Amino acid sequence: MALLMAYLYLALEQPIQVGPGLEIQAIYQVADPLPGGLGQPPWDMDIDPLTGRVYIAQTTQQGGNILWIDLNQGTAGTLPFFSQGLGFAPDGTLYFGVSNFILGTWQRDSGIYLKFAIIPSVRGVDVTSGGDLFVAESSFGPQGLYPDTILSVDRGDGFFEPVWSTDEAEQQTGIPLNVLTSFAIGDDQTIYAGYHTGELVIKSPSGPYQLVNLRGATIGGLNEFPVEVDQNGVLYQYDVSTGQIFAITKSGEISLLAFGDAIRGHRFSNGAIVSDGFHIYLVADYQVLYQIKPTQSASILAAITEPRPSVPVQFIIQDQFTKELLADVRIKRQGGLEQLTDDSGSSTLDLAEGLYEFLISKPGYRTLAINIVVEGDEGIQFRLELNPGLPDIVAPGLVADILANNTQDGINGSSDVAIDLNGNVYSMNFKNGAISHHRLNQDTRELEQSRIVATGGGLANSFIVSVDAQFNLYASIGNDGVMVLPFDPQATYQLLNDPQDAAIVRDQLGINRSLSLIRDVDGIAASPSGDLFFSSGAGGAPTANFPNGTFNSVVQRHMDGNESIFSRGIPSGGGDPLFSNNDITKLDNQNRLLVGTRTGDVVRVNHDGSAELIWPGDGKDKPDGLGAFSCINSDGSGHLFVRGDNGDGTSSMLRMISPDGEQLFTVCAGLTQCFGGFEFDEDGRSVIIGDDNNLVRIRSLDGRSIAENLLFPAPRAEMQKIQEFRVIRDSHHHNGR
Amino acid sequence: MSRKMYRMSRLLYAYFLAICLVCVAQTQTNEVTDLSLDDLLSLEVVSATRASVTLRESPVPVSVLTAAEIAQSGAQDIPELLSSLAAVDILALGASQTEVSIRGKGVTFNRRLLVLIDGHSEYIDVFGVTLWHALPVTLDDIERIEVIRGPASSVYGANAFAGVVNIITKKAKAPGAEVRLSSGNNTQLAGHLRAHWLNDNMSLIVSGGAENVDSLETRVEYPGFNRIPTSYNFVDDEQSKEVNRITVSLEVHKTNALTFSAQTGVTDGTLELFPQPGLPREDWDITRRFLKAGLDFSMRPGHELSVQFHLSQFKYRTPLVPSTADVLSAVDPGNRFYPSLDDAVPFEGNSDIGSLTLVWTGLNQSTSVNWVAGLEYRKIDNKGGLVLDSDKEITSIFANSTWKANQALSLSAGLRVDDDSITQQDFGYNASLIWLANPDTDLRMTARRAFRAPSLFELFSEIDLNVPRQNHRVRFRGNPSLENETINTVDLTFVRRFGARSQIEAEYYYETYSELIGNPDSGRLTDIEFDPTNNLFTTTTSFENLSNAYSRGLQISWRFFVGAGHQIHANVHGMSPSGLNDLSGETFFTPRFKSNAGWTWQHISGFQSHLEFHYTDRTDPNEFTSGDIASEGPNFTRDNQQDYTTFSLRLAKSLDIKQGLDVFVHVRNLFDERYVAYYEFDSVLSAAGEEQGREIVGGLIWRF
Repeated sequence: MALLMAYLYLALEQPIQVGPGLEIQAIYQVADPLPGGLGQPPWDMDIDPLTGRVYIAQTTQQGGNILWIDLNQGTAGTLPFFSQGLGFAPDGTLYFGVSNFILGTWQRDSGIYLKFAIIPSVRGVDVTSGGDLFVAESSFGPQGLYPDTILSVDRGDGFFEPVWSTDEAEQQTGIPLNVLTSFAIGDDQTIYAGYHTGELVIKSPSGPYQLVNLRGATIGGLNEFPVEVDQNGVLYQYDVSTGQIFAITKSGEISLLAFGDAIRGHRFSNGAIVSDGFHIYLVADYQVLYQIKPTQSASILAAITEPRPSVPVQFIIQDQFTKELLADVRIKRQGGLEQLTDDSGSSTLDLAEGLYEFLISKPGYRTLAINIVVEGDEGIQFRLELNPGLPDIVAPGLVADILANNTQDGINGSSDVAIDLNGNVYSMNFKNGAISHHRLNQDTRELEQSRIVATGGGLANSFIVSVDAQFNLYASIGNDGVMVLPFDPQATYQLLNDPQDAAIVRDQLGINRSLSLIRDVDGIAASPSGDLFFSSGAGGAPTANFPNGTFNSVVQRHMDGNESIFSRGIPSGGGDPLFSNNDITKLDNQNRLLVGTRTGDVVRVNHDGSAELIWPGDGKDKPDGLGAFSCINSDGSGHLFVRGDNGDGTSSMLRMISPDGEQLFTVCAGLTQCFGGFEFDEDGRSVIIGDDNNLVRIRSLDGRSIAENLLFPAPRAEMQKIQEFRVIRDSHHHNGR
Repeated sequence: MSRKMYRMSRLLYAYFLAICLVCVAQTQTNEVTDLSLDDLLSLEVVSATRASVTLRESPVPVSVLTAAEIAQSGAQDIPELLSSLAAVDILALGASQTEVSIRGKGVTFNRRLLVLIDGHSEYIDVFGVTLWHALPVTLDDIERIEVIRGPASSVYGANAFAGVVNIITKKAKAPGAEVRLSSGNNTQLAGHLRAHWLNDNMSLIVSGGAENVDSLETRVEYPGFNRIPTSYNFVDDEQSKEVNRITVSLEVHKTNALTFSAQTGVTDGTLELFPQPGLPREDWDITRRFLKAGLDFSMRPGHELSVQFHLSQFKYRTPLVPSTADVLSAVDPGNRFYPSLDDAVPFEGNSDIGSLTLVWTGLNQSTSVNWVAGLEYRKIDNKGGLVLDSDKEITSIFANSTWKANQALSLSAGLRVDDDSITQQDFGYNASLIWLANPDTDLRMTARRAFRAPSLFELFSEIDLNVPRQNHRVRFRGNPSLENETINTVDLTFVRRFGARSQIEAEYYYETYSELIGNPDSGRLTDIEFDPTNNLFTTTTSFENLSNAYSRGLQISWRFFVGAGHQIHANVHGMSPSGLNDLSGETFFTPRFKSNAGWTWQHISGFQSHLEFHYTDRTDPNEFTSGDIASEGPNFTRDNQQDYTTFSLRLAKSLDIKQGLDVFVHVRNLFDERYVAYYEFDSVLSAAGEEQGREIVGGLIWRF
């Protein structure tokens, strides 16, 4: 019997697996804040062509720097700039983004650092072997002339012009593309661009835009995988959120080079990867620099293209609960090769020795992603179970069910829910860019009808929904403003963005539904007083009413339409702001704002605008962390609940904070998404969670509230483990982060 | 034949046909104002030394444009007129702003040229700029314009750096009046009235008028260059220029030896000004008032004493840049990255200038020495606006003398010392040798030094701009420690006449410049403030003495007096600067080559025509650092700058129906609907360009 190995994305840390002919080793393990330490997260990396040093643009506890490591001398140092993109020209000139404002350069002959061009939000720099400079400009930060595009930059005078169109890429690939977060360019001028929810788009100079190897998993709703092209034209795609490294050759062959929890990000999907054709260096927020190299071959390319023997691999798929063997389950290998299971739930294919990723999916079930290692010369069999979308674990005394699903109710990437005064539920579904209304029976709370009430108009990039006492629905217009939609029990809003101004949306009657121009609104709370609160994140660029921008703030929109900064997240006693790219926001039982953030910190804002840290995202001095882009809400009794990853990023959870603020009680674990909104119903006896393709409801069994069940569990109660392994999240999008 | 050539030939054909028809139809003879070569040689100029000297014997190179030439040229303003001179370059930046420079060094808000009106400085110390379209004179007021080619600080002190333009106004020669009315495309409207009263010992002149130009928008958008075309208006403006002016001049001859003169005037209007690339063109409300009085006393033959008192006031009001709220509301992508001000409060500034000048002119016939000596005191009081409150005083002493060794050889020398309350003492000198080798050949060598004192804006400006969509703040700061710029020049001028009708003048010069002032943003990341708390970065740009440079050039001018009322001129000017045009933060414009040619013809019937050709080459690309960004800051490049050619035509006719009544039509840029006269680009401030179109102006002049 040959060795069988199937590595799921499990909670337990697994050794790093590398493909045949390759080896991996940790070569630098100094962690920030030690001098020369690796920060969290790294953003970009390149090799100095003159010295061989590795330069890493990274965030540190002090803000950020560019770390260089001389692997031969064993020395390290830093350049005092926070950067999210850097690249060396063949002559040794370094170009790098400075903060998120400009492109700078290191003129190493004179030893000075210069502003080179005002290109904001630099999220990648690459220079071809011919010396042509290209820069990826993101849309997260100052507005810039060419957001979410790639610029060709004249190395003489800094003049830049776009060579990439996200709009065209969207049209040609047919999928929405939002924030550009990484890029690489080959010597043949083929451009590879990564978007922040896992999309990799490739375009050769004369070819169309093509979507390749879509990455579905996220951390905090994002997958900002780094990419790199080596001198042989091999593209490396490092999916930090899953700890996988893919190689894509010029001919389009996709190979899984390595995977493992040790190279998976904990709280950030950002990372850095670089290759000189023989070595690959990679780093993410685990603060270790790894090196992959061939054991015998002359290059990485030679190692991955070497012919290897094949063996048959069989998958048998069944329902997790009914154990029914499932036919027509799609078994898809990286690179697109796929086949369906037969009536016996089986599918068999031949695979050469190596590493593989498989996505196993069927409508009505959560997609399961697994990595497998094929070795030896005998066949392999995998028996796997699909989950219809329930969490893996729920607390004793609670039960999980699916309130609304994808196939019957059109739930498609649910990222937030709201409940109106009539007890009906609204869900934001970013995958199909729609807000749905779910009518619930007033007594039984069973679902009676689901209906889309609004679609289009940037809702695909909104992620949030809120409703006020007058049944007005609020959502963000992508990153460009806030819309208001009076609930209409009959009609569906067909929204369109104004082609001249994306902040303007009109319905099918031509009525302008825009309410506010505040940018990067990732959270909306409608207070009973009628005031609205907009959580404007780090992309809160200036608007006419706010010349200095609204970044990292909560804006209060008064009943008279005036808007003012309500809070900058400053604690009552002063000190550093607690908002760091603040995100989704809810109101507690005293109508105080509860705010989640990019870092996972959850914050409560008092009525005077002062802020209070409720739980740190990194779990510092606490039993556990919350991951990133966490969400906080309270039940009717004021108990606080947080949604996010656990501290090591292995499970998406909903937990309650103990009344003393020191403990976390698990409501459920193993949700599909680690981010998104949830709302309490039935006086705290149930909670409805927007979770990808389902609205999941957790209810208490004994008539007590969820909080009471957690604080005072029934005797001998144990966690109910629903399934054996944790599944990877399906592909989804999340913007405005 | 190209389409353009075809159109040109058609237009030229129409032009000649019109001339022939007019000649045949007319029989009445009109008086023709004319200038011969002899007239030119004996023309007396006053700018070179502050005393009269013939043009031929001027110790420094001087060009003259007479009233007759002005009238014949068809030029609509002084800069256009000056552009026909080989040494003069202009940057046409719109209907209300033209920059004039001599021997290259053109720049927006040019501060290196001194303009005088009847010897009084028009220098606006607060900015150093000459607002040509707000001068208190129009072309109809001008007797002649004298242009000193090259520095003249030995006579005029600070700021006579690249040259001097001295506008000599007309005196009242006979009672009468003159009315000019004109209109053209872009709703150009102008009216001017000039009236003279005269008796035995007194004359009075009243001159006034109004000009208006609407919608002369100039917008350059190159394919692929959709950056920030900073020079055009943030908001399209219906009014490009509105200027009203009036002056009253009184001259009293108490005795034959004593003359008292006084003049007062006011110019008021709105100009669209483009101070520098990176800032948009904005409206500037301008008011200039002046009062001057003079006493000229002829002590004895050859000895004169002159006392001149001059008070002037310059007021301005401008938003400078749009408000941040307006920029943030802009939908047009070209407007969305403008620099702006958070507080939309216009800058209002007031600059009062007073001067007193005492000049003694003497002649010692026995030694063939004449001299000019004098004292000058000048005080500037500046309040508000774009410059911190600041005062300045300058006390000067100057003298120059010419020794005529014989009929052929003259030696001249001059020196002036200025004591400036801010920049301390500096001096200018000139030394020249003139050799009239024979009646047809002249040779002149000069060596000169001049200096430019930094303007109050360069010294004390303090402006904080905002580029909101880039989260960028810009501090614009003056530098009180600036030193004077200096220029040293050597010229060799050769003049050769061919008979009584033709003259060629060739002039070679070599100029060196020191301590040139630019306003760089150093570009060093260490000089940039990054503020993560407020999500802003702040750069500072400050004026600094940056570099030295040199330039050399050769100009050749030819004039051919064909016959009465019939004259042809042509000139070429080539320049080869080094290190001049890549001054960081400054935008010098020095064309490699320029050429003019003109043909003036007046028929005895009263028909007048003038055809002018003008070619301006690009600035030498080698002047710009390429492939590198200098450590002093990003440099300007002009990759998109274009050379350009224009033809202008003026036709005028004295009408029979009323004596003294002329009608005229002037077409500027005859063959092109559009051309780009000026373009520059830099990596920080992006692009600036000016597109000029064909302009047609017609009108009448009535003298009665």
